[in-house]
Amino acid sequence: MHVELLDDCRLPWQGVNPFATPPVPDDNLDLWFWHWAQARLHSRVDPLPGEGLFLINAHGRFARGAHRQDLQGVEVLKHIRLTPWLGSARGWHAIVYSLEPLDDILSRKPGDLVLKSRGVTFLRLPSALQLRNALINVYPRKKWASLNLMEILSDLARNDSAAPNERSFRPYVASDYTPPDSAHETSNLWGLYEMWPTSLAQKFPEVDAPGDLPTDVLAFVLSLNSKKARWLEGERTRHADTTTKKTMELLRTACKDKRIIFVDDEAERGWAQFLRLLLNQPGADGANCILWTPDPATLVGLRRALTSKDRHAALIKELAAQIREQKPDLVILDLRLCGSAEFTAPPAQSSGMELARVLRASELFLPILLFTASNKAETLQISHSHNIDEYWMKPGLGEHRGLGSREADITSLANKIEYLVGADYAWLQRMALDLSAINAAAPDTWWWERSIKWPNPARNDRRPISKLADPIRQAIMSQPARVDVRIAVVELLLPMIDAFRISLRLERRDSNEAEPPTPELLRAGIFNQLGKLVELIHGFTDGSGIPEEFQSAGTVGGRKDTEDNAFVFFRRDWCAFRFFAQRNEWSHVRMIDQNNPFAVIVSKKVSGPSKENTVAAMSDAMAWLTVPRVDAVPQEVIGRDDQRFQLSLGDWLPAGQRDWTRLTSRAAAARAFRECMSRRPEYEPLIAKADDLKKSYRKATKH
Amino acid sequence: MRITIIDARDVRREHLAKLARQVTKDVNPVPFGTKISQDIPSPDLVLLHVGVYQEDNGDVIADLLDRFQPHSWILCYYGGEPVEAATRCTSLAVAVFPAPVDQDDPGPDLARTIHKVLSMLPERSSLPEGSFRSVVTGFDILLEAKLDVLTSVLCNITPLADHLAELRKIYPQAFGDEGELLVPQEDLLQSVADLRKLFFNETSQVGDA
Repeated sequence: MHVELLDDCRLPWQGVNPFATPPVPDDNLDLWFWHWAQARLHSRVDPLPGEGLFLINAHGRFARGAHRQDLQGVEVLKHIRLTPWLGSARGWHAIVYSLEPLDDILSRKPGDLVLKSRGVTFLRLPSALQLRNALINVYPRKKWASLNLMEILSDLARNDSAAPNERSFRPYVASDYTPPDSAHETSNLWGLYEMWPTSLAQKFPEVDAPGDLPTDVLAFVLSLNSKKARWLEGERTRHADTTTKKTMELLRTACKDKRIIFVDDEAERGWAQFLRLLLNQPGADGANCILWTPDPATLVGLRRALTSKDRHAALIKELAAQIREQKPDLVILDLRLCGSAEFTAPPAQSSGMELARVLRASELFLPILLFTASNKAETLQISHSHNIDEYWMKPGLGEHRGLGSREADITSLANKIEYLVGADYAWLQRMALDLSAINAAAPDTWWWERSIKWPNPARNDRRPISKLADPIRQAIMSQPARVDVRIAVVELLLPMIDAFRISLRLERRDSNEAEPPTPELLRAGIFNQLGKLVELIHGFTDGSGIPEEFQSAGTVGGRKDTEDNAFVFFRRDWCAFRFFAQRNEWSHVRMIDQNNPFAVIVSKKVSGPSKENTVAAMSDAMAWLTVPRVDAVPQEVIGRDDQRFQLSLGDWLPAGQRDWTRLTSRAAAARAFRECMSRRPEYEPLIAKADDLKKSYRKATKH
Repeated sequence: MRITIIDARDVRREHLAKLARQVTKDVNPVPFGTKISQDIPSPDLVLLHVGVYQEDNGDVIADLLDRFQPHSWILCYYGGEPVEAATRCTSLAVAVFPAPVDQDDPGPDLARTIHKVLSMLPERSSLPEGSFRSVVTGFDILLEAKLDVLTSVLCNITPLADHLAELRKIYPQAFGDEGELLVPQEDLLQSVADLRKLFFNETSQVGDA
């Protein structure tokens, strides 16, 4: 029978020669146990057998600086019972001996109740040294008197082992357990351990690949308190399944050459390392995504400045400036950058939210992902109100355990990051660049700030348009310059782009907000803004002298000529007219029907413009606004003469369609206008840029 | 008695001040950022927060310990983790309360310990060495001496002289005229058992587990 001795003393045992590992003092009992257990498990000379029992000195001094009264031997017993990778030795019977009475021990340390659990025999020294007699004395009913010591020990090992996996063991663990503190720190470390890639591949990376784990995570998972937590909370299965691997591949492809900012006071405790593993291909040359983290001293300074609002605000601004300098594709922020120092602060006043506010003020369309251990609904609501694009709860212990598996947590994070660096947000950033260019450019640099002369409106039979007096004709033929248009354009473009960003977030929301705006409704609003843009740029500047019938015809509309029923268009911008027609389609909700090529049909019910068509419309609009237009000079075009600026009866009408009014809305169909625009050379660069914007979105959505 | 409280957490500092004022009027809670004048008389007891937050806010714990330990008892406490300067301090005038303390409320355990210290230690100069630490941390120097001496005898090694000295004061009957521990070797186990009964005030027989 194998007897394993755990003691720092060389006591004169009688009748037994226990196996003793030479003690290697360590500062920390948790580390000492880890080293001892690994050495014994992996020993080539004499590894731990399947059956045996322990002899443990309750007052053993295993860690450097320990005292006898610390009862480290009892702590070692707890380690043994709660270490899943110890194998069968975990349940071995343990003979614990002490000079101190058991009652005194339990009165000093009630948490040592494990000494009374099944599978433990408590003996007093010095009588314990006569092990056979001492055991017979403790178990008077057992028929051991006729057995020798080894037979007694074998009987004990076989018939009185511990059951640390059973519920009956629970009181001995729970009575000695301090739950993770409200600061979430230990909870975060536990979640990190369970999500670590090595953890997905190996059951016990702290044994098989300890070098892979960050230092803080390793120290935490080796600690006795975390073992208790793990035991009480139950095992969570982990394995790198096919779905997770595929998700990782997609994420790494999406993050290639991207720059991601990560701001978290626990970044250096393993989170930054974890993200780098997630975002990059394995191997030395695998780095393809840059993860930037601020100097830890910056966050220490932030924590120190919590007592001074002004100083804190100034440091937040400095940090935001550092982030902007990096020109990131994505910013990942922890909610509470000052850790436990701001746990009592409401989420809206946390450092993370404050940094998000400052960043959002200047970086309107930069994707922001919020990390937090908080799973409170309040935090989720507040993150939406602060225009955070996504929210991910760090899994941990206790109330922060989460409902799903760790694979689900990693998959969720991977999907969120992939989405935020993906096509939608990349395209949004392109929109933002164009917006900045419009805002920052010198006055009078945009075509819509210059005078434009339109060719003389005419009919295909060259007759003059009836009742169109010369002053009116002049007003229709020229568009005077308005240098104040630019500010108004930006004020219209900004909410359009912002609405699109919010619609992206709403599409992915998983909270049950009461009657939130739907993404479709926001997209319909974008089309309304498009109409306003067109009215702004092409509106009548001077209504005096223009008959009312012309004014009411719309800025790029026209009127029916009463003589031959031709429809005359006054402003000659086919691109703008197209936007206006789309605007008519979506702003007047009753006009939405299933034949509308822009409609999103859900369960045979039209719900609003689709995302793809919204992207197309916004790409066209941005191209329209940013590509310099040449003056509209009549040019030869392919096709019939004088068809450039006319729409006559018979033109563009689909077969069998006779009603121009209905066609006006139907003419929103991209194909019809595309044909009009393709015949005009001034539209060539516009079409090219619009196509490029649309392609950049479509290309990135393909995998 | 003079008590000084150094804690960057305002609410907790005021709680402790209120506690201390139940015993003495001379209580000096030092507001955060205030330098303590070198001219004022040394306090009898310093309640010192030795968490990382205190150092993050500008105090250097090692300097404070050096300054006060020659003339004051220093009862240290922490919320998250204590700084190394406190845990590694070997001075018997310095003791670290073993359990973490809430950031706003010191809690009943620390309050009880402070009351114990205040009631048992009226004046700095009259305090026996080691007693302060024992009261604050629960470390029992006598128990340690008993366990060490008995274990050493069983292992046939010489116990620490300090431990023998502690036991000699209380159990002179266990020692000879020249101060040696009386452990007849004819039946070592019986001798140690008798000694154990004496130290732990037991009446049970040797064979008891």
